[in-house]
Amino acid sequence: MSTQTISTSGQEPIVSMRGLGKKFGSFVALQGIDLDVREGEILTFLGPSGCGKTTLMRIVAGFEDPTSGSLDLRGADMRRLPPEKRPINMVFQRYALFPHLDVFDNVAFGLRLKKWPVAKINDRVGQMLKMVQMDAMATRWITELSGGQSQRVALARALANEPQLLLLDEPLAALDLKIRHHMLAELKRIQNETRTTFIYVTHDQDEAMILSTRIVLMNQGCIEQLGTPDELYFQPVSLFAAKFLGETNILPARVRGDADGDVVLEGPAGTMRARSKPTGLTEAQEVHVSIRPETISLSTLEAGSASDVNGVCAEIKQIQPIGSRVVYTTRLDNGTELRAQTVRPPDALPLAMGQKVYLNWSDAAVAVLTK
Amino acid sequence: MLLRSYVWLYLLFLFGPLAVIALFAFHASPALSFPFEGFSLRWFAEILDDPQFIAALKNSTIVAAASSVMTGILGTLAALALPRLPKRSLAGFNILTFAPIALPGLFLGIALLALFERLGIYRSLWTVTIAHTLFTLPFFIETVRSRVAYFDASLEEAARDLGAGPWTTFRLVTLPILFPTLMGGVLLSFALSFDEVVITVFVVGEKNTLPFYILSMMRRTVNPSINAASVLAMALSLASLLIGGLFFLLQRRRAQGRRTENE
Amino acid sequence: MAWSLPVFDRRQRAGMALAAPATVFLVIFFVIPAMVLLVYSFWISRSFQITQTFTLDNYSRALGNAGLWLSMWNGVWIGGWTAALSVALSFPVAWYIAYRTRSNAILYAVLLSWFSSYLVRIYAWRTILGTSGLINTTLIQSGIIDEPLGFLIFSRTAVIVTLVHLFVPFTLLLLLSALRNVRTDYLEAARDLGASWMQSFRSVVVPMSYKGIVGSFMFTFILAAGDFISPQLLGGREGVTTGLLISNQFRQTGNWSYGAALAFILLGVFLFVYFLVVQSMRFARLSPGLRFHPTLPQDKA
Repeated sequence: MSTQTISTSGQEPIVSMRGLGKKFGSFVALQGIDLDVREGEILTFLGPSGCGKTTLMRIVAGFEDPTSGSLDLRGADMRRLPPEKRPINMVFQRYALFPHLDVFDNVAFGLRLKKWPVAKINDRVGQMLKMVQMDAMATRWITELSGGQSQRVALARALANEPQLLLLDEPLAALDLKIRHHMLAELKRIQNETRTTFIYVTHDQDEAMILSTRIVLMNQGCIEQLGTPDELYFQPVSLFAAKFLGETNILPARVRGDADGDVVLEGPAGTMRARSKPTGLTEAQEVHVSIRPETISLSTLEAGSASDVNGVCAEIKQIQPIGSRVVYTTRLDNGTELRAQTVRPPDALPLAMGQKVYLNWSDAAVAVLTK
Repeated sequence: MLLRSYVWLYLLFLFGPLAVIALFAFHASPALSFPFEGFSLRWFAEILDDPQFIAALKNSTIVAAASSVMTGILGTLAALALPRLPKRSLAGFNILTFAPIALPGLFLGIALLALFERLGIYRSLWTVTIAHTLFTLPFFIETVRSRVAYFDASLEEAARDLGAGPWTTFRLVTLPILFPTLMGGVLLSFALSFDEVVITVFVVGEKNTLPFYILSMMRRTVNPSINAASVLAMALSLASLLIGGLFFLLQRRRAQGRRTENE
Repeated sequence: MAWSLPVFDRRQRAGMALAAPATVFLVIFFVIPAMVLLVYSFWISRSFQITQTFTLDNYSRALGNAGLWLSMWNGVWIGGWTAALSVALSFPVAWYIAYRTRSNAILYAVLLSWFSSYLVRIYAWRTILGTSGLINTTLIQSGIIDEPLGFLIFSRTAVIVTLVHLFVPFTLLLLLSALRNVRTDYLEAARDLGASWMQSFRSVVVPMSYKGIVGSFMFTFILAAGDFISPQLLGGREGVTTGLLISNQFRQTGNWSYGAALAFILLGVFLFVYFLVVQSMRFARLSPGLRFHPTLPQDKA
């Protein structure tokens, strides 16, 4: 059931890291990273600042040397290779477009270094600019571009070299929200067109969720969890993973046993069944459970209970309408708080403050966290 | 409003005395007093006929050119080192590069004199050039420091990432971007060297520099041709600054020219 | 105890290689000469001849000499007034440039005057203040005075006026870069909290630009107190400074060891003045990093 799969199914990984570590003086930035990047995927390094995601990406790019471990690209050792010799290109956080060159010359920069013939360069640059929809701005100066336009040029400049792997270092961090969403869609489209493998670094879970084929969740220099966005969201393996992605209710619990293939747990919200079953669970083990607010449904006492395997009675203490959704904070008799979320109805809210309600959630909604 | 008038007074204080010198350089009579008796170029003719003045002018130009080039090379390397040095080395390096101008020029002059004497080095334009480089290097580094600090290191990384080696990166990215700043620093050094006299008096050999020659003129006599010499010296300093401006313009032209080629 | 050499990455190693030429240059032509000079100050010399015997005579002779103390006092007097006047005169202008105008014209004008020749400016003041100079001749011609005013030139005042004129652009540039760090929102915050213009100046502007103010004062002080050409040309007998004495030892008398000793004594005096300036700023409660809640014991620190 664990999502920590290292080897890929039959597919040759494009990049493989084994035991990769990095120290800055006495500070350990990365420890023992084992990771394979699959051909054609968008792999996201996600984590809070200081988790090592940027360092890991800079090692792949060649701007940092790993202190230990190995780094292979299609089976060839890359550790001794300077950045300019690696078939990898990067989109920098603040774009790093050369201010003394115009858009065209920025995109042509790498091709000129490769000594491509002029006609071929012109074709390629035109093609790239067309792809990022900047073909009308080829002669603009970098200082005349908006953030979103700079981003497109940076992307075109990196992709012009036909890299085997494209690294994107928080490319949308400097953009405002609306453009960010638009650019995410653009990134996905461009990745579809070029079929280039992307490594995408971000601290923004939404970006990661929207864009990624797989996500590497990092924390304190280690990989916390590796999996598809769905796996990370619904089956977090640790407290950190559960809290980092989305909102959730975390409750302590104790393992009681098995029933119909479910784990039975007991905690402040009573007895609860969970379908996810981490390996190595033992009777009476102390664990945590995570229940996403949107998986909890609310119903009035009159409407009856037990529509799901898990249920509990609580009182509504707070109602927060947030745009398209409503978050109810409820309190159980023993003082435990649970938050539930529903879609906001177009008319008046059906539930009121202080009202007693039933909370129900399925066994699939419960994730058991062992760390 | 009061503040504004004060600023004008301040500028008057700065430029008034210079205007006086410039005015009397063109005075027809040798008297340094009003009423003004008409314009004449006689003092300029006199000073330009003085072979020693011309020689000193030539020497100063050589020294200023040599020391500003030396400062430009050492200073550019040092400036590039600033964002790369580890923290503690940087602190030491900052002190070392700043110390020469935190001490009076007198101290630099006598210390260099003592060194040259110990090493048995004969005083010449070479020793003056070294002294001037020592004096202008800290100014150069201080002027380019903030610009270099704001230089985005990811620009160099981007160049490396796109396939440029360290030297190509310097040639295609770092140097073009920093060029106006560095050129400004070199011209500043040129102007400083051209004007330097405090250190020079200790390390100068048989060949005079222009300020040193003017100083000896000033000690000898009160002579209106000193006005003319001063105005010429000042004009040359300003010319070096103007040339700097031209360089800057040319640089932009070239960039724009390349831009049209691509269209 | 385990001790290991620090390990530097590629970028840092490149930095060291780039810093090496300038470092070597400065060590050879600045650090070593300063040490040679220090050694000289403990040797004996007469008429440009050096005898390599260790002695403290140069120092004891200098410190026991009333003339030296007088010249020292002259230098500090001249330097102190020059620096104080330069800072005081430049501060409003720096203020104007930093907060009241968006144009750089004034700044460029000041820079331009900085680049106009050092000697020319000394000479200009000699022309203006001299016995047959502009002021005296004008006054005599207009019949206000009969004899030229002798005190105008060859006095400490003449030297101070000239030095202020020489160094004021430099002081302004240093002050300006300090003021540029004090953003207007700090001033607005102070005013918003009820500080008067004077109070916000005293308790916000000065402490926040402390380094720049002390730095520009000390810089101007050292340049002015160590200058020997203005005192030589304008100071007369009244304006003999230690700087002038030192330069005479090296250029005329040839007692280099004595001159070197004087130079190090002068540096000592500069350090002492720096200490005094810092302490008096603290005493006036204008330094940063002071606590203003006297009940806490840290306040004594």
